[in-house]
Amino acid sequence: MSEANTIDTVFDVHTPEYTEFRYYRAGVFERMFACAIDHLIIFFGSLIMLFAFGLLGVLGGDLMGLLLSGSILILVAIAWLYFAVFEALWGGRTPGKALFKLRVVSGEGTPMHPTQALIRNLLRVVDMMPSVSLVGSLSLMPFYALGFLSVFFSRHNQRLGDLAANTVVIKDRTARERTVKVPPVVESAQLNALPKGLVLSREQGRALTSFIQRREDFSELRRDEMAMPLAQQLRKRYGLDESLSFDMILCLVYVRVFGASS
Amino acid sequence: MTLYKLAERQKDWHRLEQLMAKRRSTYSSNDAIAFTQLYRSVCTDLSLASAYHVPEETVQYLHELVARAHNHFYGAQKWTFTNLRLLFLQKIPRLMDKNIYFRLASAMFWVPFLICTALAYVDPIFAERVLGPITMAQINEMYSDGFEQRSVFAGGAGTSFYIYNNVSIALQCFASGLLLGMGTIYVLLFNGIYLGSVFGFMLSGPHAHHFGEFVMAHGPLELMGICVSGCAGMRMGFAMLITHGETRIRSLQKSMSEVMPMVLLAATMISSAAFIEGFVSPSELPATFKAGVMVVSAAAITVYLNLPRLGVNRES
Repeated sequence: MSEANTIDTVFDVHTPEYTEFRYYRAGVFERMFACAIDHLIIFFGSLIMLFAFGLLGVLGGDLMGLLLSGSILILVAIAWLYFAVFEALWGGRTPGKALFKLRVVSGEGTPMHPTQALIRNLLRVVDMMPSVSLVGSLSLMPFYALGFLSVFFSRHNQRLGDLAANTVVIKDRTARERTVKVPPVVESAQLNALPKGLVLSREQGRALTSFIQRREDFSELRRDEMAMPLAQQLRKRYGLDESLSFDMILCLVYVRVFGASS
Repeated sequence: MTLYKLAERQKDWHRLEQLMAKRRSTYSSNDAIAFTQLYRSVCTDLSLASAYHVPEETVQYLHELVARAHNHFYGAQKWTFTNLRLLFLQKIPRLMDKNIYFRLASAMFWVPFLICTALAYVDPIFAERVLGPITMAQINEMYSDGFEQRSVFAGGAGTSFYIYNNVSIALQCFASGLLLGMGTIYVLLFNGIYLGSVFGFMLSGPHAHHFGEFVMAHGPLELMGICVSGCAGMRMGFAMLITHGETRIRSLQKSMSEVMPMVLLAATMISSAAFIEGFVSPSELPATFKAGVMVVSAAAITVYLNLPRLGVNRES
């Protein structure tokens, strides 16, 4: 992993097919917001559930004790299993993470195993440290100081639970449909004015392709303006017709360079 | 690769996307073959794309496509029930058998527990120093009424609070082991001292009968659960100190294959204890029944932890 990847928060995955694809790691602040939302859901969910059980208890009379015992067992389960169950069953997402388009994957880039979901979330209490109790010890206000430091300093933005479970939180981008654009048909006479074995440098080639991809997004004047620096060089080098627009020159060169092999 | 070619390749990308929209379990054999071929060809496209003049946006699209196809293809392993049976009947008992961390954790809990029980039983001032007068009054208050007279509501709320606390303590005992094992040691020692003092104080006081009747049914599972949890925490924490030549983090990750089964056992014990504490201990069931639960659970733990030595699952 290169230094540039560290700065760009990129997480490269090598597949058994000898290719490499990349995920974008989630940043500490996105994760904080997602996490806060999950904790709010747990808090208000527990509150509503207690209230509902309380109402039932009033109606139930003698069963009050049983209901309370039952409700507290459910509360314990929610507090300790909310994150783990969601992540294990919903492809590494919790409601908070889904809202911020985040997902947990294993360190190898594959979907994580349920055990990994358990590990990273049972150890969450350590990341939460220090926690301050607000009302009795039933509701804890987590500060995530340790988790924050760990995300901040670890290589793949991992909190302590992530490090132990070998998981990474990534941005869950669903790919947008992108059509590859091909420049308009150009007259062959002008095309033939260009030499056959035309070779561009790597930078020029890259500039050319990104221009062709985006040229339709701009007005004609703007297009020429953007094409000018590269087009002027090329016009001088190959002695092209002065009447051609800069935009047209780039289209011609593009077809000459890349179109021939198709 | 040129844009002209890319435009052709796009048809394949679309087909792959369509295949991924379907669930894998609904694939026909043709679908499966098509998927693997398409996936491999998209992998090739991506590796070529990075090498040639392909627009940055398309490269990103390909990255995302390959990532999704990769996940679709490799998927995640799931838990199965046959594995679970093997885990509980063979792997866990073997892990716990003669486990140095289990012995250490048990000692760190039981030694202070027994010493403090004895001290607090003999000397009320010792209990007061450890627990503080406010806590002592609260505990006394809680057990001052018998099970018949105690208002169901107060009893319910009180036990509810303790269940929540106990489960949290036991799981924290494991989790805080991530701090190089030190958190676990602290939780074990602290609870050994604290619970020991409570036991000694209550057993010497006027409500010893109520206290004993309340605690005995879930006691064995709960206290041994803390020890097993402590064993998992120490195994995890010391994996970062004794690395056997791995990096600390890698050693930690590797230890998880032993730690998680222990946690599973601890969680099973603690949740059973919580269940008993919620429904049996505060109930009006006769004390003999609660004593029966205690004996059965204590016997079950002993037999379970000694399964490998009893030769039940000896490999043939």
